[in-house]
This record gives sequence, structure tokens and C-alpha cells, in this order.
Amino acid sequence: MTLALLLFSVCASAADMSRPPDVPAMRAVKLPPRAEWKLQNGLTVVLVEDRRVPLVTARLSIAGGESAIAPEDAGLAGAVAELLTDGTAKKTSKEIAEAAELFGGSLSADAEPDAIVLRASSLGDKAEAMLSLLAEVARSPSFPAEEVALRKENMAEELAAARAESEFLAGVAFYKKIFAGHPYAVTAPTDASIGRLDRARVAAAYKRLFTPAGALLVLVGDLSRADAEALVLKTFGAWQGGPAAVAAPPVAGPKGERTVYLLDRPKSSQVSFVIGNPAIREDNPSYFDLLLANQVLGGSFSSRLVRDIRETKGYTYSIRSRLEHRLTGSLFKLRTPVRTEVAEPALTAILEHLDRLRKAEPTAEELAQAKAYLAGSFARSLETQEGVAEAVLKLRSRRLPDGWYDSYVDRVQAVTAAGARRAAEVFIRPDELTIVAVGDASKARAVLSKFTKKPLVSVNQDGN
Amino acid sequence: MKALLLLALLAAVPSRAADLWAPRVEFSSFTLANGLRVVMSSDASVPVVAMTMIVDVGGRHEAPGLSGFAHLFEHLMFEGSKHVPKGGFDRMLESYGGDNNASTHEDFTFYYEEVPSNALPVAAWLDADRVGALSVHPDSVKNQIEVVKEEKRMRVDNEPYGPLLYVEMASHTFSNWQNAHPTIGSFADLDAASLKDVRAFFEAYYSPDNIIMAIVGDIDLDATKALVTDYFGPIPAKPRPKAADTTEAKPAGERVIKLTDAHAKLPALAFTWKDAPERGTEEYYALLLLGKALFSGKSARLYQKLVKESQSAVSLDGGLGFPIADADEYKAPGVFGGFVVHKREKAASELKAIVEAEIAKVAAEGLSPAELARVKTKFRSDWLRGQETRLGRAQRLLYAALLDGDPEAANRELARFMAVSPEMIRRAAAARLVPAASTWFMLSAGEAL
Repeated sequence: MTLALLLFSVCASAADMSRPPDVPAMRAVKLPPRAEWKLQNGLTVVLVEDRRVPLVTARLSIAGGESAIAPEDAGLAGAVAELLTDGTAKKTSKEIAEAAELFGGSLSADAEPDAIVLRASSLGDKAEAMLSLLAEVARSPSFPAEEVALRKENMAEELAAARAESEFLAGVAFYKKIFAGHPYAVTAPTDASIGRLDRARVAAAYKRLFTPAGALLVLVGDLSRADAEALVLKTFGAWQGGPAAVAAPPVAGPKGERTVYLLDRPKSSQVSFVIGNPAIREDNPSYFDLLLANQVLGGSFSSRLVRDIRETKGYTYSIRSRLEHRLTGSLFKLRTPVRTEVAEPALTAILEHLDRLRKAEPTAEELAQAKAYLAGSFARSLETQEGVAEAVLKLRSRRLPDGWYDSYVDRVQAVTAAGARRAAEVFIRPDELTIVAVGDASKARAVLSKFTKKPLVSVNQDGN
Repeated sequence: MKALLLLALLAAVPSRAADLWAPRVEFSSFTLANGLRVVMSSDASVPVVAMTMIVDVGGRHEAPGLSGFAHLFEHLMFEGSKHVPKGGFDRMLESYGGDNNASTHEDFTFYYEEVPSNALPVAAWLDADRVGALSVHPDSVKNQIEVVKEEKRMRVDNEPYGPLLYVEMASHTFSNWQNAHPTIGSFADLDAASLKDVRAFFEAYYSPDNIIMAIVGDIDLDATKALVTDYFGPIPAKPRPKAADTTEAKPAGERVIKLTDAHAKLPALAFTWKDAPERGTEEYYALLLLGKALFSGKSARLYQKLVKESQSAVSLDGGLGFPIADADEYKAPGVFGGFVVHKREKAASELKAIVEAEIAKVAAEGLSPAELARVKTKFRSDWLRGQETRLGRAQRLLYAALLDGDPEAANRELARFMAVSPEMIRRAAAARLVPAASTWFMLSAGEAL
């Protein structure tokens, strides 16, 4: 008896290293409760009370972004967004930046494919100053002529700088080809579109897009519902405007044969690939099946692509696949830069992985791991106000069902190996892929030609 | 019903005092018999735990001929240990919903796992197995040398301004090889790395008494202490070589370096002042805030001068530590630096004159009280935001423990920044940002695509 007890205590203090410890199940996690109301002018407001830190985070999303702009004016939505904080009826650019610093935060605006999104944050006790400035730049930007001229000049310089980067060039060409003919095809300005930019076009685009109808204000932070209602009414209540921009037309599914596009970047030590095909929205019944299939393929560090292409073969530092979404179109997309000498075996291996994902079910271990990773990632994303704000923004601006995040973990857990394989077979289309490569054409052209039955297509820096 | 310390504190503080007040990170700490120091902090608001380690070895500890070794070694820490096969580390963590990564810095190496709180014992087991019994296979070494070379190609060689920011600025600013060589290493040194070198590095630096651990999140303090003691207690401490001498020679006059960059499309002007102050001194806090006032955001002085008024620049970055280290990981010998991408038709010498004039103005007049108040308010808010995540809090505690010698320094830090006066900034700029300590890099863009 004494001996047994002694043995037991020795075992208890020296941990068993031979296998991982048994642990209980993960604690449940949900998007925190949100309150929602609408102003008479059409602005929708969503509030999440979050008092974990003395800060407030805001998002104001205006319907109609890059895709609401004619292709010849590419970059205009981005210019409008940038210029919002460069002058209002009452403040100069510098005064706006100083005001944002004084509420202990930041204020910026970006043009996204389907919306212009203003992002702001402040210390918890300065929410009123933040909302006042947010409303001021959204409602009464003045677009000073000299600021528009400077923006135009800097857009040309920024475009020149961005063209030095393989990843930028590959992205421009990829969207140009995969969304060919659709407004989503345009993701960057051109020299010609920057040439057309002037104050009149900026003001006209602003006037057309900026309206409370269809706009969404998300507030997360140290703020009560009563205070939030009063502040929003005071700052946005009198805002008036026309109808909201209409959504982009639906994107067509995959079509045609696999095509390889090559952009020459002399002396490039790597070939940067972006590869993909149109896929499905988050509210499609097969979405979670495809999400899990992609996760097994290239969604995390222990996914097949990273283990094989990086960790076994050493062809790249970075490889990843993902599902990417617009309001009316979604993509399966894979990207990796590999060193020039191994472009052929790398692409061959990638295509073999797509094939295997479509033909054989993932193992029970792979599937369980992918599920746990997605559930854990969701829990981690809710650590910050920004994470919560972005989740609410996505839920509403993609027009997903209200309970989409609340059932997220359950729906991830419900995916079967057979379902994941079937989704991969249906929605990942190796024979219909758009493959964009940016690299030294003198070294890459011949090997890349082997991956298409059609002639390899050369593209320029605008993706044309 | 776990009480959330942070929330309890927040509720107790009246909002009118918010300008003066920052939430403490409550923590407790202990040291194992083998020297492993552990800091724990509890917060159950989401079921997530950050398990983090800082190892007191970085690029500056490397021996000549072994540049890039600390970083290569960091990669090998994920390649398998006695009870975990190659690839098993990531697979295991992900199978519990966790994420992980690591980074190698000039002065230390940082490892983290973020896991759902139920899986903390798994993360502890994985870390104990690799710290106690790393397996180093020749194939893994060979493979990771290739991966690191790809990382260098991607971040440095194939990236506009990569060679300038990651290699040239340090190599021309510092005179001591320990500080001057790049942490990413050279292809020649990486290719020459042997299995023996790798084992020797592990034996020399990955000893429990050379590691500090922070565990922050949804944890029970007693159970976590028992867990760490069980897993890490049996790992023996090992002797270490004497730390490398990182002493820098005093600055020897202004220099101008001219470079070209084959991938850059726009020219750039970069600059450093060496002989920047020790961490934790009045000058350190002053220059860190001056960096924000000069470079950060659209209201920053140099943004206004270079982008708006003279319309000569497109973008800029800089501050204390730049580009060698982020400000929060700063350790002397350090730099104060900047990087400006400018328009093709503007001469670098014009921009240099603007920067020099602005620095001279600060050295003569300091900042205005209103300007400094604004910078401080923004800094305070960013500082709070940096503490939102468990990982952010763990990292701050570890940096304080290693670089300031005390995790509690993380809780004192904000007050030190808020105590900086315009005159302190003037004095620090006048003493440190002197022409004789400066090096200027004029980079011209290579041929067009």
C-alpha cells in the first residue's frame, strides 16, 4: 500500500512525455450579442457592447466600392476614399489628422470591391469626438483642388512603386483574367485612368455613392445602447442622400480551358503564382464542405501544400490557398512565390494536390484537425474589438443570414470526409484554372507552356 | 465563475480619470529549480491562451561565419522532437484549434502558441518536448536551409528596398560585425551550416535558465504552475558561452552611401543616427515619442514637410530602432532611422536638407506642448490596443522581463512615456541626432520593367 502510494506520487510529479495529455473539449464560443436599429434616413446601426478595454471601434460601410466605378476610371473609388480625410468644409487635412490623434485613435477609409469602408477607433471616453469626425468626413468632404492634384500625382508614383512588386503584378493580372468583363476585374488604376482623374469626377463619384440608404455603421466598445443611440442620432441623424448603389452583377461560374498567363519580370529570382477558379458564396449549402476541403489543402501551416511544397521540397517560403469572396462572386485561390529553377516541379506538384483532393477523401485526422483549427481561429478572432467589428461588418455587408456566425462552429463540425471531397470535386476545377505567373520569361516561358493546351498568353503590367 | 481582473478594474475607474490611467496587467511569476522563469496572467473573457517563450539569443549572438544561424535554428525548433515527429508540432497544435509562430530578432528569439484554453496542456507538452529533447535530422537541416533561403529571396532579394532595409542600413551604420551583419544571414553561411553547428547552438542557448515563459489568458494559476513544473522541471540547465561583445565604436562623422536597387521603381532616401540611447532612459522615452511625432500618420512633421508641403515624397517610415528593431524590442547599441520613398524628379539632396532642417528645429525648440499632448494621446491609445490580445500582453511582459530585467516594467512603461516633456525631447534630439552620427543612403531605382 505504501509502495503503491509512493509510485503514484512519483508518476504524478514527473509528467508522461511519451504522448500528448488528454484535455477536455473546447469552451463554446459565439459572436457576442448585438443590438441593431435603423435611422429614418436608412442608415443601419449595429452595436456590440464590449468593455474589455477602454476603447471604441467603428466601421462605416458605404454600399458601392470599386465595382461601382467604370473601368476607365479605375482607382477613382480609392481616390474618393483617401480624399475624404483630406479636407472638409471646416477642417484641413492636417486638422483632421490632429483631431483623430486627439481622440486617441485613427480614421482612415478604403475602397473595397463592394463598398467604401471608413475605419475609426478612439479611447472609450472620446467616442463622441470620434463619431463627430467620422460623420464630418463622410458627410461633408470638400475635396480641395490642391489635395486632389496631390493625390493624383501620388497615385502615379504609388502605382510605379507597386509595379516593382511581383505580388501586386500577379494580383492585378489574376483578377483581370478571372473576372474578365465583370466590374470585379479592375483592382488597380492604370496610367490612363489616373490621367482622367480630376476634382469633378471625384465629387461626382462621392455624390453618387455616399448616402445613408444602404449604409452600415458598426460600433464595438465601451458604449451603452442609450449613449450610442443618442450619439449616432446627433452625428448622422440629419444626413440625407439618394438611393444606394446597386450591387455588382453576378459572376459567372468556371468556364473554358485552363489558361496560363505570363508577365515578364526580368531578373526576378522567383516566379510568383496566383491560381484559381470561381467558387461559391458563404451561404451556399456546400460552402462548409468546400471550406474544409480548402483547409486540408492549403488553409494552415500543417496543410498539405505547406507540408509538401515548403517543408518537404523546400520550393518556397510561403504557400496558401483560400476562399475569397465578393458580394456577388467567390473564388478558390492559391498563391505562392517559388524560386525560378523549380517553377515546373512546383506547379506540377500543386496540380497533383488539387487532383488528390478531388479524388480521395481527406483522412479522419486531417479533417478533425482542419475543423479544430477553424473553430480555434474563430475564437481567437473575437479577442479584439477590431475582430468583432470586422465579423459584424462581414455578416451584414455580405448579406449573410443573421445566425451565420452563431452556427459557424457547429456547421464546421458537421462536415464529413465524403462531403469535403465532393465539394472539392465540384468546385475546384484543375482543367479550368486561371494560372497567372510573374517571373523572368526567358527562364519560365518554356516550362510554363507545358501546363496549357492553348498557347501561353503574355500579359502586361495592367493585366491586359 | 472566474472573475476577470481587467474588467473588475475597469469598472472601478471613473471615466474622467481615463487620461491618466492605464489598466495594469496583473501577473504572478515563479522560477523553477533549473532556472526557467515563468510569468502568468489570467483573463477568461474569451477561451483562449497565449503560451509564449523568449530565448535570450538573437542575431547579435551569432559567431562570424554563422550569420543567419539564430533564425535557421528557430525554423528547426518546429521540425520535431523526441516524442513529436517532423510536422507533428503544427499538426498537433492545429488539431486542437491552436496557431503558432516564431520570430528571430537582433537580441532574442520569440515563440508563441495561441490555443483554445482547454488545449494549454498540449502546448506545454509540445514546448517541453522541444526545449528538453529537440531532434535534429540532417534532412530537416537541409530542407530548412532551403526554406530560409526562399524566405530571404522573398523578403530581401526579390523585394524593392529589401536589400537596403534588411542588409545595407545596418552594415553601413554599425562597425562591430555582431551588430552590422543581417539576422537573415548570407547564403554562403547558411549553406555551410552543419549538423554539428546546429547541435552546438541548441546546447549553448536553449537552456531553461536562458528562457523566460509567459502564459496569458483563460488559465487557472495554480493548475498552470503545476503543469509547467511537471513538464519543464525535469529539463536540466546547461552552461553557456560568454555573451558576444556588441560594443560599438563612437560615431566617426557623417557619411553618404549611394546604392541602386534593381527592383525599385522609385528612388529613396534613408538615414540613421547611431549611438541611440539605452532602453529605459529618459532619452529613450523622448526619442521614441519624437519618432512618432516625425513619422507617424498624416499629422506627423516629416509627412507634412515631405508629402504635403514640398510634395517631394510618396511615403515614409521611421523612428527609434528603425529599421533594425521595432521600438518595443529596442536594445542598445541602437539607431534612430528613417526611410522615404520619393518622386523620381526630386533630388535626394533636397529631401536630405528638409529632414536636416526639421531635426535642427526640434533640437533647438523641442515640440510644442499641444503637439506632444496629441502624440501622447495617440501613443496611449495604441499602447492599450497592443494589450488587447493575450499574445500582445504576453509579449509585453516578456520583453520587459528580458530587456528591462523585470516584467513589472511593462506596467510602469506608459507612465514613463506620459512624463516626457517638450524640453526632454529637445535635449535628446540635440544630444543624439547630430550630423556626426548620421549615415545617409541615397538609393536610385534600377531599370524599368
